[in-house]
Amino acid sequence: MNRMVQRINLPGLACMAALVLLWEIFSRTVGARLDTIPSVSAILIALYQLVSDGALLSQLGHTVLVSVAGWLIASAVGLTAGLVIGLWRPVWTYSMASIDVLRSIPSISLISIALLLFGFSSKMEMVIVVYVSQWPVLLATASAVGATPRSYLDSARVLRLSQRATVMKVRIPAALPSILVGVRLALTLSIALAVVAEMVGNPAGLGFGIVYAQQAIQPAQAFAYLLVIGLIGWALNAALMAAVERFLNVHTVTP
Amino acid sequence: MSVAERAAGGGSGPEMQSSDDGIAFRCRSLAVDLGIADYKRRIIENLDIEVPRRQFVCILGESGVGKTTLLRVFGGLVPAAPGSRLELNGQAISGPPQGAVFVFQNYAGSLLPWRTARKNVELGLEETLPKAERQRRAMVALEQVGLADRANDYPRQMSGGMQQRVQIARALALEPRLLLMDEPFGALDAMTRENLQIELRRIHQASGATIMFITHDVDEAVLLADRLIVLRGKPAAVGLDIVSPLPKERDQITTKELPAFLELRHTIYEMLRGHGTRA
Repeated sequence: MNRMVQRINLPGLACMAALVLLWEIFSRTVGARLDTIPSVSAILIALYQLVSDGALLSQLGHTVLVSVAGWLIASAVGLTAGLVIGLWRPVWTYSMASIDVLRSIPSISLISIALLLFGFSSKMEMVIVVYVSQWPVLLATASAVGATPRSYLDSARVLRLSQRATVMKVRIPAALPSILVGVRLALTLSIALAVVAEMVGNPAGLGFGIVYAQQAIQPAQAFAYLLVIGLIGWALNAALMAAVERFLNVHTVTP
Repeated sequence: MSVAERAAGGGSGPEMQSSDDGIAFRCRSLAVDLGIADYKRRIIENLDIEVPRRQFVCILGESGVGKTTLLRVFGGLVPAAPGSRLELNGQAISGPPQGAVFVFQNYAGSLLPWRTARKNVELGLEETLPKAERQRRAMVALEQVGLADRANDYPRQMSGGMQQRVQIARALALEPRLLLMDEPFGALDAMTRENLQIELRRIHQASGATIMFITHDVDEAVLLADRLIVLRGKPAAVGLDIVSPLPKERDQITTKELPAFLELRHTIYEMLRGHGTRA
């Protein structure tokens, strides 16, 4: 707990508070004529109303559930496929060209295809989240596991490690820092894609909430949703980093 | 038969082998090519070396002559050209031979950073020994290199000299009959190097392993070796093969003052400069 307190970046927080204050002052003075830019206090009041009528909590639950579940599935899929591709050279040779093409398709453009296939549903949202966020995990895993430093492999050979032990004890641990980078990217992507899929397809969650507020011309509400989306992104990422730190050896995680 | 012999030999001990001639390592008409297909270049040609058990052999040569390649061939990391014969304890070598362990110059790249010193030392034992036994052996090996109190530290928490000692302990834990050392002290500072040289002599006397040690440092070679081999030429062959007249007990100060030390050093330098006659 003490360490947590020490880690709080006070100057950073102060700067943030100052910006919020500036915004409040701006919206009450110069910006008062622009009713599309709500004041901070109006946003907080809108947020309070959204929370108290219960709409926001269930939307939040939906988005968090889809992005976390999607991220977990994507990580498992990406890790498995990445290991297969990275460890077997022939698989790499045959698959990499297709992978390079598939992953360069802008993810947003796939939503229309997913809508055609799965309709305006949570299934569509989930498919989009998983499909898009597995790429960074797959690519990070495949390239890192396929590029174990020569010196580690030489050590494994002179110590007469079996193939299996070389993979489990040398190649995968050596790749772990890169894999974690991929997993972290996947989390950011899965939140973003869940929100986008909700905005244009699946009528649920925070993404739908923000679009609804916009169409109802409720800028304070739209900003309140934005604030919530920002906060869950931050919180999920922080939780992941805390879990990594808690369950994995720091010497493993930092190369 | 000691535990060491059982573990390293993987079979009958040397005293039980009827064909035992006291030779730990032998290569005959060894040739090595590097590169592939049309771009093959012969690095080493027609090399004959016989190393008796427990001998400390230093192999010297100008940079680029093929010392490291030769050692990697001995370690089974690089294949020899067809027609070459390589034997360890009477058995032909293909792939890293049982009972031989390699110590690399690049200690930072060969220790696994996510394992503690002890776990690094245990790495080569995990598939063959139960947990308690391999922990005991790892601790014995760490003690031999003076790092028992740093067993739970990670490599990055150690100095370069300590990391190299961990790598040596990792090799010793396998109780090798043949230690192949590729300029193991080359990247260390002078003072650490000097301490480790004497430590290695002591470890050699205690463990009874045969050592093949590559270096380009003439003083280091003369101080350490029971026997010195100088590689020369393109492709490389043995230019000089000389048994050290120095006493077994070596010391950084007194050994280096012996006339025999200076004489040997002189001979080697002449050979390296190309004034010597080719053996």
